[in-house]
Amino acid sequence: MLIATYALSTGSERTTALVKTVILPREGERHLHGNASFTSAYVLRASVEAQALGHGLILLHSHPHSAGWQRLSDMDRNTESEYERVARTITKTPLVGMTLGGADEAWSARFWFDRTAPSWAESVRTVSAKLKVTWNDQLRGIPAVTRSQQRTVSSWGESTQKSIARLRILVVGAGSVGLDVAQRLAATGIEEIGVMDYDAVEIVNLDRMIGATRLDAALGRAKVDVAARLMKSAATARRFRVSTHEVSITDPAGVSMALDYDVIFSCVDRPWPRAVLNEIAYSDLIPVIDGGIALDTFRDGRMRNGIWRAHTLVPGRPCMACLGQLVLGDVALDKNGLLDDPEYIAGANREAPSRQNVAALSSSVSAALLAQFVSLTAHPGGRGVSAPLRYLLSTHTLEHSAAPSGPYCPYENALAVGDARTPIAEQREDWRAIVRQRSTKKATLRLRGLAAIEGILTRAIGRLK
Amino acid sequence: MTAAGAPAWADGARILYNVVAVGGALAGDKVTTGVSLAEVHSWPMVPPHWIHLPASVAFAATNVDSTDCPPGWVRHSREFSFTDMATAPALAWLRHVRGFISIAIPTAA
Repeated sequence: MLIATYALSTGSERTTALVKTVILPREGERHLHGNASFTSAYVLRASVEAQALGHGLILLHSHPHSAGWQRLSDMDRNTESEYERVARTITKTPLVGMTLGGADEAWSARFWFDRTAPSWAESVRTVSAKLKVTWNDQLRGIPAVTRSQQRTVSSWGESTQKSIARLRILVVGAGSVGLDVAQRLAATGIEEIGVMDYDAVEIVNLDRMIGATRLDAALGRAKVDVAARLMKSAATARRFRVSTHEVSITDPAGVSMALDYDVIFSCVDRPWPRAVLNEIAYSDLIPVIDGGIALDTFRDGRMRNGIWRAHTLVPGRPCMACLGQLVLGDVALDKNGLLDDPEYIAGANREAPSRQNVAALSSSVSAALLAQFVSLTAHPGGRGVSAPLRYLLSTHTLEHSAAPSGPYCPYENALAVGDARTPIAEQREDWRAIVRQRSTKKATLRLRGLAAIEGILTRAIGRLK
Repeated sequence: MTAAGAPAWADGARILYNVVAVGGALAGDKVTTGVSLAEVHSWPMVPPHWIHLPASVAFAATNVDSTDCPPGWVRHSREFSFTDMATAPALAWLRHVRGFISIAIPTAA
């Protein structure tokens, strides 16, 4: 038995308690007598310490020989119920109870909002180079393995499939890489995928957004709607749910939605959104899989080199800033709109942002990001995610970065602060205006007719068993 | 900032502090400088961009505006490209500002 503290991470639909600090018992505060018990003095002292830190209180105990999600015995229930009021009165936050199933290191958890009965958590996530999740099967049912998932399940086993399929995964950015990642996640059997982007499909996107059509571009359809259509078509889960977020991750509304997910793919290339995601990875302990591609050309337009990168941001692995993949000074430029200001770019003697990209190579990035995802969740080789990777196209070299985490890194040092995170996102009107304008735009009769026919065909194909 | 050797104080919509120039026209002078409060809401995750200085401090090439500045002050656009997370953020920022002030040129007579 042990006491710890927690910080809250509040999403738009989900609340997470982030375990912060263990408060060890002092002499005489814990008794071992077959079962273990702690004294009220220990709970009182820990509550006061938690309150001083601005944290909530967690009572932890173990069932050494049990496996899987643990329920409460009468004795455990009475103990937690008894201390619920003490913890809530002192810390002003609900008590959390956690149980460790010792046989398989499975954690279970519950909030006590009053002393009558606990509100059970849906899952407990342990985040490091490996993401391990214990699921509460009653609240998040075991997904059925479908006929179309045979090859997938035979690759990593049914138990891994049942865990991975229940993860809520968010893809931020539905461009060439994000669209590919989203479809492959759906094909893997993930039951709930969110996609976030406020942009629309344009003709210039069609050489990279595989699956987007000329009709999508002509209608100026939202990228998230195109992603949703393609994901539904690729999905193999029996119950597949896609959430479309026509929102910017640089807005508090986008951050709030992102906090509802278990894993986030960062498929955006601008400094500001990447800074927001870099923060969430550490402040809210949500693994962020990030990467990108940079193509370099000679003056005459021929390709000189290409580099793709992939890295997973979790505690114990360096953040984007420590990797040199996010220049913090550029975030201020992006927020101020200076990266889009040709006059500023010329005056500052900067190179204009590289716009080169090729569908044949963007799939290398999505493949690299998805390989990070498999390492994070299925742990082949038992080692979790790799060190940050980069591939140099001109020399055919795959490199592991040895970049360490900087001792003064403000992102990694703000570990598990949850709702006390430094606000990087800001409420802005520009992206809202783009979404509003799209929703009021009226297409020609011909395009609307084509869209209706396409809809009928899509629905008919979707009904095929 | 105090720990980095430059105690700061609030001045309306700005935060000010003193820096000693190590080179240029102001070498050895203590120069009061600062940043807009609006630019440090996300500090240290996002460092500011603009550096406030008295209008009397001149540079060979710079972009200026007067947002958040009282009369007699301007703010200079200056890119902060520091990426070493082994240095404390406030110290890194002070080095950046000191480097900028140390390339000031003599004011035209």
